[in-house]
Amino acid sequence: MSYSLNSHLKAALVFIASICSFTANSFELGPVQIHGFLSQGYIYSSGNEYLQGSDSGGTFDFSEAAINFLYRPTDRIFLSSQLISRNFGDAYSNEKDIDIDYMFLSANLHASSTNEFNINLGRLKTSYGIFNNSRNIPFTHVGIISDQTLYNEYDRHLTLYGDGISLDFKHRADFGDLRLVYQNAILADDKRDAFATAPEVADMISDFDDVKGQVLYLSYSLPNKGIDFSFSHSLIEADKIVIPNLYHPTLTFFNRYWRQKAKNNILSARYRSQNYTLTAEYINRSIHHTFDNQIISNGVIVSEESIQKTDSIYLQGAYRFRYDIEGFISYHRAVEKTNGETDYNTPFNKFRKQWVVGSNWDIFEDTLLKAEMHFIDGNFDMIKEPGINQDGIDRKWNMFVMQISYKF
Amino acid sequence: MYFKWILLSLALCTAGYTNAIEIITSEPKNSSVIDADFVKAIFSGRVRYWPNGMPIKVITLPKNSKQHLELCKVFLKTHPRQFSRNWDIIIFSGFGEKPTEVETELEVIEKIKATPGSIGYINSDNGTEGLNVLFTK
Repeated sequence: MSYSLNSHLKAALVFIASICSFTANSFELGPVQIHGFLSQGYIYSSGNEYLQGSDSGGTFDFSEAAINFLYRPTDRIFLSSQLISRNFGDAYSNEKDIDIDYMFLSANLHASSTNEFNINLGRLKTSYGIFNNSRNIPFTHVGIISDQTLYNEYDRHLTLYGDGISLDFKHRADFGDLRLVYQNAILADDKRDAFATAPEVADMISDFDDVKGQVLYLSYSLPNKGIDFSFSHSLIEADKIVIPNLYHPTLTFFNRYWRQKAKNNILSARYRSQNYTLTAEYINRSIHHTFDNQIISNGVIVSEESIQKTDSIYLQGAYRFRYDIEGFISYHRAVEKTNGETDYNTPFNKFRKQWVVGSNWDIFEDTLLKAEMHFIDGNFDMIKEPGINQDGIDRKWNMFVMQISYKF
Repeated sequence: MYFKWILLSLALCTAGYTNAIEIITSEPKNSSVIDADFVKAIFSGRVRYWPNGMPIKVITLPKNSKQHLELCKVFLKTHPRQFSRNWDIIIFSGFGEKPTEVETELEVIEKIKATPGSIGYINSDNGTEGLNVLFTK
């Protein structure tokens, strides 16, 4: 899954994207259409270290450069790819100088006035929720840091894309538009991708099988009324994770086989009028952990199971004050329980209540400035434990985020 | 003298708003399968192929043009910002080509005549010979 080139290529991508952005609105190299974007952000947090250095004067260590290509060799087939270079504090994603955001072949197998059927092969964005296909593109949604239970920034290599196939069927009818997508892909073939939020766990793993994922996405839209509903179900399986030796003060484990099966059910609803948009998304996540073939130091073989359950919802309202200015407010609430109980490994990291207020301003046609303020109670899915500084962990904290972006 | 200027201004203003938006295409007109909802789906990026399998190429006028604002407000019933956002989602998720933007209505007509599978909109009925007018709104 990992695709890492040296830092010269990273610099080259940023340079090319910069040159392109200042010379043209978009490019066409013969039959190839080229677009891209650049973004630079700033994050300041009052307490917990959301991003490395964010609570000590703020950090600019939050930037992206991307360039994408689309080529259509025949009417019914096109090839599409986007290369991205991303900087996000001390996140594992920074180790990939250039990453392939997507690279796929899309073939249209059927088209009529009411139906469309496409098959896509290659590295594909994972279809879930309203925003996942485009969540890392600043111009496609209000806000900067989206809901972190649904669209986690640190966990993006596991949740953003996979290598596989998707079948995409669309049907238009008098009662509305239906869309059904089935996706089967390898989400991670590298233990560091799979455990990006917990690199200390990744370091302990000696043997690792691919993380496989299947997604079923169903949407129903009433376009003339601006109403969209969708349901996404994903099944993510890591069949074999072996931790050879885990030393504990009281027990020692040898050859600990760990299997994970995660199920996500996501309900999304959105209403769009000319001047305002209302969005709500709910996720119910269940992660089943099984530890087999454990041989503890006294020679007893044991198996162990645990279930982590997460419920999370957010509601968002956005209003367009003018053509170029949009404001929004959102409320997020999430809680996680293990075997029915709240387990505090880290203080306040099993729940989160959060208000976010922000705005988007299209300074120019292709230049977007965003700013938002987060008021947070709890840390669930917000902070990466190794990133916490020595000053401790705050239950109530605030975060200010700004981002300027340019597209071409 | 002032009265003459007022009359002229009113005439110009009126002229600007009495011409309806016309949706024009190079594709054969087939009203039984291409209805208003189908055309709205095209401009929203939700439909990418004509019923005959030809990829759809969307031609637009500048985003601040009167014609584009009318298309969004009257025909699509959406905000121009939402129109742009829909297309950004398509372009940056890799699932389609960006609409071709031209400066004038004459260029829209020429582009559509020269591009199979294309669709656009204008605010007048001049020079559309050889093209199909799908809707007038």
